[in-house]
Amino acid sequence: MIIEIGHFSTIIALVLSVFGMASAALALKTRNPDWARSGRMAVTLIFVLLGIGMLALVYSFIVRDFSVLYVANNSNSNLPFFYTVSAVWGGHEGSLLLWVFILSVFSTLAVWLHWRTQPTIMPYLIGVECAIIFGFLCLIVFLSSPFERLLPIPLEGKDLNPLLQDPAMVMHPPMLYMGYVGFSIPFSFAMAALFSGRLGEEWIKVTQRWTTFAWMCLTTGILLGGYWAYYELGWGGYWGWDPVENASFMPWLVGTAYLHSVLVQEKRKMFKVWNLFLIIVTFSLSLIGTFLVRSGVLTSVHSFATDPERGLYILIFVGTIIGIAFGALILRSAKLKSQVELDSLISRESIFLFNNLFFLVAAATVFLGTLYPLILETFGGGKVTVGPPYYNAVFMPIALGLLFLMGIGPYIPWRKASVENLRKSFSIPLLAGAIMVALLAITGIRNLYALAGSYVVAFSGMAIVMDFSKVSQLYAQRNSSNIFKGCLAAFTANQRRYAAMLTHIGVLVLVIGIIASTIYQTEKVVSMKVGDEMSIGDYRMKLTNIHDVEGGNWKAEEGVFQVYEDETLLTELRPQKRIYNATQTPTTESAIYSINMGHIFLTMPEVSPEGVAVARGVLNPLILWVWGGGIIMGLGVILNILRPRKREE
Amino acid sequence: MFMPIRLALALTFILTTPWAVLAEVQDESALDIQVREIAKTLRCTVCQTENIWESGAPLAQQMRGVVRDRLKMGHSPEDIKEYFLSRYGDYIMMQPPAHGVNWLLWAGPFILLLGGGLLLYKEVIGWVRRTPTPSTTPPTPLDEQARQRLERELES
Repeated sequence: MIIEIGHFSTIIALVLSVFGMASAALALKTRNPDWARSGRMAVTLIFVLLGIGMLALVYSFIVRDFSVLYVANNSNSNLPFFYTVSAVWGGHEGSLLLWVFILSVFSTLAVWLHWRTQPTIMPYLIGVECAIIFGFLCLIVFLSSPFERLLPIPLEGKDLNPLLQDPAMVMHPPMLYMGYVGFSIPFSFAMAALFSGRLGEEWIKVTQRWTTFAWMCLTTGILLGGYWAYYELGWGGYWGWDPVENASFMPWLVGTAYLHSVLVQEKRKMFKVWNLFLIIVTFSLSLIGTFLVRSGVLTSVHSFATDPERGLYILIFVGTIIGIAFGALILRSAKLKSQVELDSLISRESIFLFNNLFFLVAAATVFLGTLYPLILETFGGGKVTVGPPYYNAVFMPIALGLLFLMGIGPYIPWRKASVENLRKSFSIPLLAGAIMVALLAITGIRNLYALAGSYVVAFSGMAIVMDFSKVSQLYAQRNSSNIFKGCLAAFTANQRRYAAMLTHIGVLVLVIGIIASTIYQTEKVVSMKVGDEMSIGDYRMKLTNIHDVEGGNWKAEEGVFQVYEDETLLTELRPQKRIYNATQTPTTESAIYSINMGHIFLTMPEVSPEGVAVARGVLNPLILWVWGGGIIMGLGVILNILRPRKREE
Repeated sequence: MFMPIRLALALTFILTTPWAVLAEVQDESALDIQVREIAKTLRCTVCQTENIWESGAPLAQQMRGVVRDRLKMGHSPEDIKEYFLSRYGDYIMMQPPAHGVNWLLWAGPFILLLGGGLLLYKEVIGWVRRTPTPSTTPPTPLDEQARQRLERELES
């Protein structure tokens, strides 16, 4: 009964999305604000109805109602309660529902938040959001409904994929979707600007916080995914350039370009077409990412061809939205031709342009690498694999270029930089980079990427520190206070800028973590009996016991490893080889010990009947910097969003 | 140290800790390391872009076994690569070989970067040339009233 209520609500929401589009159109045609108001009501009701749909599904999971096909496929009577809720988005149908539900939440928020200040935009916003909601709801209602019943009712569900029974995986999809969907708000405002011809800077200023918020969610989602892969997949890495990961990385790259590029338009009123282009590409890539992941086209062209309905539908839907968006942009671009005024090649404006170029090429690289096997196969060129070695070789130089631009960009003045400017801002950072490289070279580091990366990181970091300390001193002098109060005053007075610089510092920390933990990872795999020892780096690991343990819905063999540094016992690590009861799927549960900002990472992928365990030890130096950098980035973005409103905004 | 003492020590050690007879320090052999290096370059054909080293799939395990056996038989890493290539084609390598149409993939990003960079550079230079240079007369100094206002603005 409950699930039918959810199903019914979702169908009504679909009808209302059509009504929303119609009232938006009528509001534009008749200029009667009542139509806009009824559109607002439609959006709000869609949110409520989809909320009911979500709750109905959550309820069915909680009571483990296996008469619902989706619940039977993704749950089990022994699945822990915590995961019964997250199982809602553990499969295809449920994640689509979550996607569109988040979209309805954001649409409703946007409509109510900007209702008074943006009356002319509202019909467009309502129309565009309802169109996207309509597209997704059609898919859910007609092609992949999570509300379908199953007859005969099975006694037991198939269980949630064991790999997804993990706290990080509970949060990863909602975060990612909030990122994807969050970009729909600036996208809708951009569409409104294009359709209405009100092409000023207003839409950018209004949506700046939305964009930043979406970016933060996407970043968090990606990092959570990496964190999950790190300890759950058991090979000690966090980024595998997997097509699914790439699908979320592409909108991130272009979204980041957009985030920077809008600053030029805010400040100098230039690059209008360019910014519209970037937000359209960003949101398109969010949609394409959803298409790639959800259509099955990535696994193989053939699996797509055998079950083409869903995939074809998503392709047509995404294609239509992208087509309309770009069509509108092209039609308007003549009107948008603004006089570009640039005083110098060495100016903030031009650095932002090159930043955009690098981000776009980075995104194009990921796009090419992800789709190349599909394209080649489709045109009969045989099957190839584009894996991490390709990306490491091609992506790293581009990333280094971006890091370098990140170091210089914020300290090159708008309009024109003089030689004096450059010398003042960059001579010490250049020196800092050189000193860093020299120090590392002395300690025996010879890897070219490690050295180049460290140079750029030291350079960029020093530039940020120098600028901030100089400004803080000025504030301290003027207020005749101490330097700490000066720092605080400098930060709060320029919160937008320095919050962004904090995010940049987070990126630098992250990059150090990535360099150290990829280039200087050590790994060892040995077979051990109880009592045996292995050494890895400066540590010794002694297998003292292998025993059976049992969890709610799994059984495991657990190895007990004592970890020593010299003769001191550091800790006991207990990696497991688990078998989940329902599906009999094996997983390897890693055991991790943090030391010196790095990890000792241990898994036990195999145990033979004779009691010989295969132990896989990995040392990941400075890996905590990867997650720490992510947290600093997030902190910077939160401070950016929470900054007090200034008069000119 | 005298031999008999060493021997006695070793004996006591062995006798007092019975498990120590079996326990030993395990380490990777040169073969293990070689297997790993090769396994990291080969794709697990049933997985999603995972190499046979990192994959936990049974097929990956079998393939690791094949690599190990062939190394033991004295095949060189090159031979093994050729063997897998002949059986599975380019698909088996973790990255496409840099020949034929694959050049597009390998060079594409750099062509884009260089081409885009050049284009952007020319465009920017063009914009700079068309932009009238701002007058070079030094700005008139602020009067006291304006200066105070500016201070207040900065303060807020």
